[in-house]
Amino acid sequence: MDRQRRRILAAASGAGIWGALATLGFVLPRSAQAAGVFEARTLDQAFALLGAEAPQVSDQVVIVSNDTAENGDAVPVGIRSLLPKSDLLALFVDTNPNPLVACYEISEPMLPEVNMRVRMGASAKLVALVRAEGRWYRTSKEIKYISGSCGI
Amino acid sequence: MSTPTKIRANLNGDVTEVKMLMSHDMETGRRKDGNGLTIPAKYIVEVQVSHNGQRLLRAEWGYRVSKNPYMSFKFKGGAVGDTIAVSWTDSSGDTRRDETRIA
Repeated sequence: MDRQRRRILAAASGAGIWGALATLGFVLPRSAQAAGVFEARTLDQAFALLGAEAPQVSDQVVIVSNDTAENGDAVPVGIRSLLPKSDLLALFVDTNPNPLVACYEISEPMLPEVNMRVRMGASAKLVALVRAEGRWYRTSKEIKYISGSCGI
Repeated sequence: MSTPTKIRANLNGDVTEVKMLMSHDMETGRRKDGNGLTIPAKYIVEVQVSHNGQRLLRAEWGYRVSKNPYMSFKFKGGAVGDTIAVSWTDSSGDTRRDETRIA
């Protein structure tokens, strides 16, 4: 079934139809920016603006990072989902004035994992939020910021 | 003029790994210059990545993403020679688009 879908997509892209469809489909969903989620001042407020009321804590959502950070300006962090049909991944830092760091809409061919680097500046709790089949899941992880250490 | 985004896309089995490094100061709007004046915010707010013109990922970022942002992910269905395009838009409206081919 998937293979057939690929062929159809390939054919459509050849005709330039897919591009037009894609543009339509991708522009329409309300963005986090438009919804003001980046201006939210608390996690609960940010979740509510995203439409993620009371997400379920799940071990199927994983924050991939070290437990400590030596360079608070660029802390490598990944969000990985083990839930099928995950289509939105978001990362928050719980100690900021504005908790939302980044929000990713991912397509079906993608493996549900995105890696990035984040400014932290202090020890903080990271929170990852995932939408899969219309339901919301979350997990969190503390990262300890050690200024000027050798990583011990 | 902005600097090109460095993009690597490598096929391994049936999975393509895409890694990119954008060149951008990601000014938070919270820093002050030598005269105590606030440096205006200017950071990437949106990134789109496509595979042969079909969108793979759309990212929305805030000022908490590090300077010269790095991003990586994997996807299925790519083939050697396919085009991977990365475009970003920052909070001042500047944009940039770069592409590479899967190796």
